[in-house]
Amino acid sequence: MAGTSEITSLLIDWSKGDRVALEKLLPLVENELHRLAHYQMRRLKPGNTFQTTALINETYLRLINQNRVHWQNRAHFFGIAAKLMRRILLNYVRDQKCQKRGGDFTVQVPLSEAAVISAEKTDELLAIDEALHRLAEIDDRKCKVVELRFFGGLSIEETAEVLKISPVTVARDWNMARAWLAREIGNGN
Amino acid sequence: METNNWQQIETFFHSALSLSGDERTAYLSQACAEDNSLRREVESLIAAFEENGEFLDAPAFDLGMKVIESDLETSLAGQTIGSYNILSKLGIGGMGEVYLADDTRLNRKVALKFLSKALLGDKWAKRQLIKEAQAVAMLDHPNVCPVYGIEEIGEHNFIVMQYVEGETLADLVRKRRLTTEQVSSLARQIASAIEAAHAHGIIHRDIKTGNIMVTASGQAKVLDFGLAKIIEPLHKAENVGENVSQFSQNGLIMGTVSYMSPEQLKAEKLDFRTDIFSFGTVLYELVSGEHPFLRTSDAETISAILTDQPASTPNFNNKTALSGIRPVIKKCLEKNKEQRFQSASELLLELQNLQDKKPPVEKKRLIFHSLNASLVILLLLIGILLYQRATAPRTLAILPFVNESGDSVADYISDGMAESLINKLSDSSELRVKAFTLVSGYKGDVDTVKIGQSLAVEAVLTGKIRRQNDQLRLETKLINTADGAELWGDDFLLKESDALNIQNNISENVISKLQSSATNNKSKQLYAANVQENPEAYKYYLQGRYFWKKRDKENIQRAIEAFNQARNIDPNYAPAYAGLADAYVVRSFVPYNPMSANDASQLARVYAEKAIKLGDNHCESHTALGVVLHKYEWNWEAAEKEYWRAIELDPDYAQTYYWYSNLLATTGRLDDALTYSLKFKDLDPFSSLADVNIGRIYYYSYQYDKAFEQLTETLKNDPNNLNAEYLLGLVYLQKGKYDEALKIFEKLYASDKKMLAAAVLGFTYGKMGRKDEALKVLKDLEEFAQKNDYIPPQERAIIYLGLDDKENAIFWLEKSYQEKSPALTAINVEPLFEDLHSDTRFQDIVKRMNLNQN
Repeated sequence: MAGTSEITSLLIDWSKGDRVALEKLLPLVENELHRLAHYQMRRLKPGNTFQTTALINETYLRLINQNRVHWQNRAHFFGIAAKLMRRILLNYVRDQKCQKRGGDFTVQVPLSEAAVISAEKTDELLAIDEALHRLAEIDDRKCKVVELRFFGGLSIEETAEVLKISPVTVARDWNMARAWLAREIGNGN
Repeated sequence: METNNWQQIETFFHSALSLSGDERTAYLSQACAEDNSLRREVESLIAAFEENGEFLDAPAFDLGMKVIESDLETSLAGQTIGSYNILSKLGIGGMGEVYLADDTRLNRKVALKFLSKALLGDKWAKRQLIKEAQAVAMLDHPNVCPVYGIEEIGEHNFIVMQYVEGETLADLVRKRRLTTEQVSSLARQIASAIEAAHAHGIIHRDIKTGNIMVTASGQAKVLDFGLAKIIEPLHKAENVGENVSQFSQNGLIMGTVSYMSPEQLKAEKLDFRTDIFSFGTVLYELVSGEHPFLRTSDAETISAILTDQPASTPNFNNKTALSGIRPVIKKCLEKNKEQRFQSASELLLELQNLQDKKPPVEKKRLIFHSLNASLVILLLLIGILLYQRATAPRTLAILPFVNESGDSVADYISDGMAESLINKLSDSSELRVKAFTLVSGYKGDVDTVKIGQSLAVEAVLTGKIRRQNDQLRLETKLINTADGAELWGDDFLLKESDALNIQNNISENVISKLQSSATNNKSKQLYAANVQENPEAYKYYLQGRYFWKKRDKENIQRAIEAFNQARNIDPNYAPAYAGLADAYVVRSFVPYNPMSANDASQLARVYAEKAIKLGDNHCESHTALGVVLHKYEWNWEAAEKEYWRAIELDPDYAQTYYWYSNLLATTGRLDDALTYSLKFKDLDPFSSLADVNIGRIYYYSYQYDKAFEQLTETLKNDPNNLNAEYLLGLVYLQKGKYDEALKIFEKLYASDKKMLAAAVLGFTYGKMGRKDEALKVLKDLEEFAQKNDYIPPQERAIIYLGLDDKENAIFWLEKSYQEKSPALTAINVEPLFEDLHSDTRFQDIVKRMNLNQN
């Protein structure tokens, strides 16, 4: 597996705007999240939920060489986690949907009970994702706010830190984006 | 509209939201004034916001973690299987799951395709998986994701594939509209992949946007031949229907409903034209961003495919430029397969025609103009030269161009450019050109006058590539050997696409300065032909030749990729096919042979024939076909004819003599062989390939002292020449100097070119009575053959001969015969086989090969 220094370099590259670096980072981070999820699962009492921030923090600490990166890169890392979560979820619901429809995929993959997402929720996630693509074209920052808040589980303040804008602006973006998305999705149905 | 008003809408939205009741209404009336659509926009947002107060408030992160967690139960991520560290799941498709993994043995990222859990132990599924690997392995195409191999480790069966970084076409289409250029480029690439599959008798049967990856540079790679079916024989494509039910044993429809052809849905006989239909669906989506048949349920989708005409005016993103593509889509999507394109080639041709009809882009026009200009200059020159007929042929040597740019990418330009110039200038019948292949130790700082004198040429052409302000510059000089005066010199800014231009320019000047009579029709035709040559295709061709010369496994692979690129750009470009044929020929030789003789020869033959078809006047085409006839088909007469035709076309193309001398030697005409190997050396004086070749012919002629002399001399100049060393070992062996032979073979065996020496090392051990060690080498060889590459059967025969086990030796030679292994061509002159000469079974093989008995 890629070493800490490679991951750190990729993170630095990405924070400078290198999109290819992000593509390389995502699987590495996903791998680490997998391992952590596995580890936490055993520690977690039934009924409890994951501590989002703590989890991503831990991932970050494990993956990134602290000496080399400015602390602000931690914020970028949260951005990655959010993107990753969006991708994981969407791939998952797409697969699940396809299996239900018997369409794209012909093989039934056994699903764990815990992760079966209701049909309603699946449709909603797909619709949100699709509308987000369009939102990004109109107003990229609002799309990022939604991504960080909704998929990344970040607070208004944390989102502000990642995007380097004031919390008030995040809150305004968030409201506008939610209104727009809700309307778009409502129209679609 | 939204984008323009977006900020305004947002401002009004926030302001209105902070107000309520009448105040809000009043505010909106005032703010939006007469603009009703603006007002509706703001009001609808406010309504949506207030009705969905908790919308998105619960982050999806927890849900995501649950997914990851459940994935863990079935996922292989994090596991190590064999030498593969599995990193993450890339997706689920067809019948299995695809993971990203680290191949720790070869230190590269690969994609592994496993049978999904549900299908573990299902024999039918396992067969499908193996079939997929075999189908793809037959294809070697830049737009087909290559398979590296198939593995069975423990309960896991999986295919190892190239990891393609990029996104699926499905994602790409979902995300954004593609530009006209993207659409036509992707369409051609995909069609070209389908054409290649069909040419190999493979129907994909599951062409869809989800099965096509697109890299960041826009290269398409078709994946997932999981449902592919191989039709045999290849040539009867039209007549051979496939009476195979589309319903597997499990009663599931295989493939993706929405991309299926009507005949596929009806479980009718399938032929290649099913892929054409699916391609039409993909093309429709590429162009319009919409799926032509997808409905809300499978039943409706199926009905749409069977009966509906796709919306005739899809939302085409660029109506003018892509209007020509509509009839193509329509023809692909004909319900009746008889009315579709009847082959992928026909389809590809149509797509290419569309491309040609498009208005040329600015860049192309520029190149076109400058080419025209150089043509005019050339014609003028020829006119002038008509009156300056020289009395005797002029002689010229072209030194390898030196790359001083520090940019290794320029290597192929420097080598390739010099070589093409040689070919080009050689075509002028009044000019004798001597060429050099790379001389070891030659760094460009030699005395050109001295070289010119020693080669007895009148002038020497040199070239250097330098970097200047981020640009590559080629400096050329034409030096008069008699007095060292510079006859001509010029600098060229190197842009890759300009290579042809620059060469024409240099050629013209060299010819004019040497006052050669460049008036013959041949050179006129040559230049005219060059003007039509596609500079991009030519660039890739040069690149291919450069890699090809390096003759190791990785570089041969690169050469194949480059030649493929060249022919993708210009499907009528004969040299690209000749290059491909040559590359496959080399791929089956020890020690760079990941391909069996059988596979290599089939491909080489196809490409050589295509090269001839497209460029019968091209000497390389005939040399390429000659090698196939000679090395693989053992059709000595036909091969000789091709070599002669090549020599006629270009008596200065060195490579022909190399192969021809080889053919003469193996058919027992050793004196002639020597003559032509010296001719090869004459044309390519510093090439160690030529030296080794001469040494080999002495060796075949039982002239061991001369061979010894030749080879030690070669090794003095080129101490790292493994082939010379190997041959020297064989000479020692024949002289009875086993210890010296052993020293060489053991050394080679310890190097990374291990397999080059395995057989002869085993042989030597055997002859020396060291049986255990001989058997150990045999075992190594067998293991190697199983794990890695193809090993020609006669390698084992040689070891058995050393052990005096004639039964086994004959067995493996016979196998070699059955496989038509190219190395067997030397059977009658290879001194190693001397012990078998009296064996009737050996004589029988020789006879069947149409080789005369000594």
